[in-house]
Amino acid sequence: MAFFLDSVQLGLEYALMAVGVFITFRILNIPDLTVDGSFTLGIVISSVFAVGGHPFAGLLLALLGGALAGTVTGLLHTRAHIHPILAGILTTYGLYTVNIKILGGPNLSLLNSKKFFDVITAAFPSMSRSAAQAIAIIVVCAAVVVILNLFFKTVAGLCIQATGNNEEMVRASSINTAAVKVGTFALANALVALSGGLLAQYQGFGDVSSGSGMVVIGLASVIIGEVLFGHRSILIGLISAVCGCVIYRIIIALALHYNLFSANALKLLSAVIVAATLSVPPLKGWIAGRLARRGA
Amino acid sequence: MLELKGLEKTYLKHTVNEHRALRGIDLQIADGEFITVIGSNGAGKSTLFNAVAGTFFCERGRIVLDGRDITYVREHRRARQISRIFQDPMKGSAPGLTIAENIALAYARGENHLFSFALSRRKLELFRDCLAQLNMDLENRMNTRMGLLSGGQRQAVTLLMATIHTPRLLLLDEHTAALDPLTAERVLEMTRSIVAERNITTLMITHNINAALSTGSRTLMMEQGQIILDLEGGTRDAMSVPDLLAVYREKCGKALDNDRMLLDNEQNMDVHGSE
Ligand SMILES: Nc1ncnc2c1ncn2[C@@H]1O[C@H](COP(=O)(O)OP(=O)(O)OP(=O)(O)O)[C@@H](O)[C@H]1O
Ligand SMILES: [Mg+2]
Repeated sequence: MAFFLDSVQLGLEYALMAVGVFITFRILNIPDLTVDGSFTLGIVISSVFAVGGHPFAGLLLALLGGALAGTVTGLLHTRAHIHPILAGILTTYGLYTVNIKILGGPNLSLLNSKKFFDVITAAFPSMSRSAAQAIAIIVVCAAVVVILNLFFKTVAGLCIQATGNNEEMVRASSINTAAVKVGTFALANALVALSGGLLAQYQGFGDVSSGSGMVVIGLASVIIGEVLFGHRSILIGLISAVCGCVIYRIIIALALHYNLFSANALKLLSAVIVAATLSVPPLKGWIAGRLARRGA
Repeated sequence: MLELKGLEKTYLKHTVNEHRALRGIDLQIADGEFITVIGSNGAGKSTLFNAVAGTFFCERGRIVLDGRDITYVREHRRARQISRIFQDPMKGSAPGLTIAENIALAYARGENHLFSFALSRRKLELFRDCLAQLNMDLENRMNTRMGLLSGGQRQAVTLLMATIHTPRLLLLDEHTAALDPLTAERVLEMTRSIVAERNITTLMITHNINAALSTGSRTLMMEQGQIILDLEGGTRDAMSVPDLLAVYREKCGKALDNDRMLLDNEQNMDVHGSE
């Protein structure tokens, strides 16, 4: 049971990253590979500030740093006309240097520093440490989901949805789609970096390599969520990204617990899950076509 | 109010496929004019519209709208004043969004309240009233996804979106060509009534020569990137479809040829009979 709760908690630390991936991949309809870099950026900013005694400022600046990283990718894509995948790869690659520079080394321990979760636990002394931690992260995730859901009902939010749906029409409505894309990349990566920042303070250390492959985990979470809840509305999409992320962690934890495979096999497994699920719609079409031909 | 001076556009410049799509277009359009544009396939009609809307910049010439030189104003900026509808009903709206959301987006044109709710109660009521005027019973389906509507319904909603704020200039690029004849006539009638009611300056490309002569107040004929005929007033009223086709044959030495060409049956016979 404890192991189950632990993986739920861990899943929630990653959930905002999955929400960020959902926003670019599903709403804007552009896969964004900046995620690996901006997640790590969130980790290092949050770690450095926590060590300096400012855990909250660390989270806030992680958010802003992620937005900046997303802006860079967005500008590379819209202004320099670089393919969005390559733009994301370039930003992530460049961030590797930046991240090591900020952290001052490949990793940093937060063991003896005040963290976001310590502040929460101290504020509610009657609660157990793990309960306070769990409630804190649930509140953060819920708040983000509620705010985002409201945001996507505004004109600006509608512009993002429409840009992912029919860009030409949005431009014809006198909206600068380049700006919409840059803004969306910024928003998504801000969430990703915040997630990295939360994770660092939860785990008690920052490591410059924790972000690698994060985009695949994000995609896997989004896809698991969609399989379970379908894509009916923005709100359901946001919630299912969060739930998908938690379920992903539970699956991984179960597999590791029962020694189904080694920790090293995880990456291959995640990649296979994502590839397999993404190929379901074309496969369905192919099968339907085959059946129709046979029937005819 | 719209003035085109010596517009030139060459596609794929400096390649073997170089194509001069606009070869010096001069045009003066007065406020409230409703102009129809005809011409064979590849004459440059859509290219002209794209030039005016700002899809690309022309290498030579000027575009002046209401006295302001907009030759190098970017597309989304021009869109505040210029609305356009394309032939493909899929192009003008977002299929994954609902009817109400699509209209809300068009309604937001030029609006600066980016963070106001797109579907406030006040706006929904306004959209419902507008939709009711289309007489397609769409006002009760505002939460239906646009992608589920028929081509005619989509094009009608697109027309509503293009005119929800009265544009300075409306560009219609064969906007009824993909519809069945009955629906096409209905959408065309809607267009006529909205344009007349609000006195919108309009350019309409059509393959329907009959509609070109009977709609609006002026007709342009394009060929090889040039305007070869500019008809209005008495000359235009006296012109019949066969007359117009004869003028074309005389000017270009070949029959007007457009794969989407529609002529009245009777006149169609007439043309072929005289050949
Ligand atoms: N993006 C492009 N690149 C290269 N050539 C183009 C491009 N767009 C149009 N052309 C060429 O420019 C010419 C004019 O095209 P345009 O689309 O303006 O014709 P049109 O008058 O609208 O014809 P239609 O009646 O078939 O719609 C054609 O010869 C076309 O092949
Ligand atoms: Mg055309």
